[in-house]
Amino acid sequence: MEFRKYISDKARKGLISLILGLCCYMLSAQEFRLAPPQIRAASAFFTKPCEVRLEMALDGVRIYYTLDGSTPDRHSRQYKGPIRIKKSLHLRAVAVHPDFLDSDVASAEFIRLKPDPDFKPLTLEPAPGEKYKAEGLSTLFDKRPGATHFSGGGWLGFNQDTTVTISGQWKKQRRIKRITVRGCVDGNAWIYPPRAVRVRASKNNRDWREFSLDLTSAEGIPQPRPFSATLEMEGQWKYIQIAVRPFGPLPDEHPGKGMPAWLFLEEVVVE
Amino acid sequence: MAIDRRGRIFLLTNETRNNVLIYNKDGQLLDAWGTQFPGAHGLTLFDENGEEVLFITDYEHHKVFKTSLDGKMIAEFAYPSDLGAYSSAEQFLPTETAVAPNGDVYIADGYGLDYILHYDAQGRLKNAFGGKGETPAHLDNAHGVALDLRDASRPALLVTSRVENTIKQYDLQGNWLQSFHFPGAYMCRPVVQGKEVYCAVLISKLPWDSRTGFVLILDEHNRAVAAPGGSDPALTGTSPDNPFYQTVQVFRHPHDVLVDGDKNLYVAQWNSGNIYPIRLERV
Repeated sequence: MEFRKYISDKARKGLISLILGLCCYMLSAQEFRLAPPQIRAASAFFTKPCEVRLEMALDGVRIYYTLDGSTPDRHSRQYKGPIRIKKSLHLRAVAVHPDFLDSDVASAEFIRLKPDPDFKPLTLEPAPGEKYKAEGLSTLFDKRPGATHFSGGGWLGFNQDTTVTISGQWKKQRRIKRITVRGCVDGNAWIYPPRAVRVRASKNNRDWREFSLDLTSAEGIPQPRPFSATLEMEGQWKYIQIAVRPFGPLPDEHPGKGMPAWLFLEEVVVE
Repeated sequence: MAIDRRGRIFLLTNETRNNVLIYNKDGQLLDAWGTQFPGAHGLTLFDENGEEVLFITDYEHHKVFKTSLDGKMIAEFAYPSDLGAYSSAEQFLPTETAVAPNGDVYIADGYGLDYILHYDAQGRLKNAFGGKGETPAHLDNAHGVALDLRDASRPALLVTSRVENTIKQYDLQGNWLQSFHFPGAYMCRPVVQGKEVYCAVLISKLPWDSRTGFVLILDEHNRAVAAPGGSDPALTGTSPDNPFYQTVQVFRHPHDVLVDGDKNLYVAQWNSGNIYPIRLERV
């Protein structure tokens, strides 16, 4: 890979492509797999239609994608330019190249959020851990997802073995269909999904109706991934209390056995 | 990794059954030694007036060891107790060294306090610079250090601030000159060969074991011109919104590259299933 000072920019670009192409040629002598394509969007949450870009800066790569949660392959839509999305969906994409094995599927969830200025979050208990308190309670209603890595901001982390309760109210009764609590899981970082989510809703702050969801725990130490728990609660409501019960003591097979698992939340989505 | 004048490739591991493995260019194992370096991390070969020696950093011993090519201990460089920043040896977790033509040794405390420590050949501390902080002259995970003598009139040091995805250039007195930012590239150490710089990029996104590494090559102006296993530098790496990323899963976690006389590349990796170094042949 020799570079001479007098090669013009254009010729240099050509030379680089040639070298990269030759690198590809040498690499293809063995069976290598492509890395998953990059999915680029301003945010995973959006309030108005937005664009998603798929990218892999490698000559000769084609990207195929689906928007309905199905596994993409060469028969799916081929990526030709920014994808405009208007509603919540699951995007899944795969990169292919004649000289390499198809990539693993990259996937991303995009959630359409409706602005809700009449809602006021009121209380949060207990206080989140010192390093994971972001902007406090408002973090859960700011219509912004947490950072890609849980240490990157926008997350509330709790490690006391006690139920996390959140309360709020609307100016007047609203028709509510469902509530989704969104967070993340990363067993090696001691972050486990909650055991249960309960929502109590009221029209008058006296008579309460309860909705609950128990979450089954999978085997083994969970891999890093988002989680969401949705409670259907069709009705007209003005007051709301959400209770998220953390996993509790880490299981026997975990190096931190017996210590309380962390609970990480990024957003509460009300539809 | 390092290479001696006979073309033998030295691979440093933290496996105390055989810390140092010696190969020929075809990958045949020639020799192995070293049982006393559980925290072995950085390896540099220096031609000291005709005699080739090795500098091995060990973050469990909190020292840098100077040895012969067959493992005879020659000298030790202990933690800089003269420097107020260090209250105990345990804070000194050296990751790499670079040796100037006059024998001065620059040690990167990449897992400790992020200083570059400048010792003379006899082990006396002359200077310290870098360290953690908010200015461009500071460092975050000062993982690698290398002499940059490409401009003979301006000898310099290149230091990888790995968490910042940046290579920082200092003069030999430790004054910061300029920074080269490669968003998405968590680089281990810069290896200067001819007019180019070669870097093993451990990962392109957190966490540290994401298996998203590749190799980055810079030209004489420290601009990225090629990235085996990574995204096209003509299109990516321009900003944090357009970072480098892995494109082909050739490597998991490259930890060092070696360039031989024919400009073949050898890539040694960390935490990659005990894989042996991969050789890329120049075409």
